[in-house]
Amino acid sequence: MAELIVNDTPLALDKHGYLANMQLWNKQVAEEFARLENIALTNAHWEVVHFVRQFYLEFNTSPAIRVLVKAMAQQLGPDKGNSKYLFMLFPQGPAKQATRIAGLPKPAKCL
Amino acid sequence: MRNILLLQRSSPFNDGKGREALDMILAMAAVEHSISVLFSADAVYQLLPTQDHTDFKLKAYPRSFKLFDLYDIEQVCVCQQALKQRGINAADLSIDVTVLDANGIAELFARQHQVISS
Amino acid sequence: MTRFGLLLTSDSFASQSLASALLFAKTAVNHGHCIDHIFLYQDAVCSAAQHIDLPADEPDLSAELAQFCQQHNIALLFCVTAAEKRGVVSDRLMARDGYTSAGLAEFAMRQSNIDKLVQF
Repeated sequence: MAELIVNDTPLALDKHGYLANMQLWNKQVAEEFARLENIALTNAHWEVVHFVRQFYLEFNTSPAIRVLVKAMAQQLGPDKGNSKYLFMLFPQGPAKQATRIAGLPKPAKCL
Repeated sequence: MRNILLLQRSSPFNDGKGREALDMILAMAAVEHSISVLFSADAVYQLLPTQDHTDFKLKAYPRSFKLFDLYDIEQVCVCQQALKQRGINAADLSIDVTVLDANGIAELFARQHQVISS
Repeated sequence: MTRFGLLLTSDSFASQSLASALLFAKTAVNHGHCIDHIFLYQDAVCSAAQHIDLPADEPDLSAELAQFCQQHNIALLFCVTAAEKRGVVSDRLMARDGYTSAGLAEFAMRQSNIDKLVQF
């Protein structure tokens, strides 16, 4: 199984390269995933990362892009709750990249 | 746009039917059909407040029912008789639901274009 | 003429669902009705497996369904997430010929094309 090395500690990854145990997530883990995704984390990125993590803790599921947009629009306003803004921050797919950086399972691709 | 009813009949403890039915509900709502959900028979157990019931080795997907609001699913109903038979109070359920008797259920069905059951 | 959608949710070995769906589809088409899609979900996705291997004296309904759909230009779809969960398809494992990987979103959108949905 693939691993992510953070502070000399190996963390198991799932088949898709996402953190296998979401409890082991911390700031350094997020930064390491961001490096792999070629993303330099700014405050705007962190806001989304914390948002999807909070979303998961509340609803027990990783948000697909459509839901992420809607939920962010409700909580943070239309400036941030739109797919253009999210794609600017996470060009390879906001739901896919933000959930990985947030240490969550990959969202279902059929939704 | 269609009126589509998702009929939930399965207990959350025995199989993954309820879990996959939830994905179906959310997919239907996301393309803006008018969605109703009816929990009947053992599916009313899906509505009990659950945390991670790790003993069952199943995902605690009923926690995602709180997403119904976000998806604008307004018609979330539960069969009155199914609750009564199992000694469950509507007030103890994890989300707000409309309790329907047999007539109410018949009216709900009559309004639908499609019904999908799990 | 009625436009139908068919939804299969039960396993084709454990139940009669695939046989009934096939019979229904053939009869509907013979009577001049049209079938927009046949969608496999839950345990029915197992019929989309490439490596189904049956003895010659047992009917291969999954192959028969694929052939029928091809003949009549019916979209034969399966939910890719449900199939991946069951190991029916993966990055390295294609579905059986004639079966198209799709999402629940596509099934949801197709509901606007039909008059009636029949579930097996």
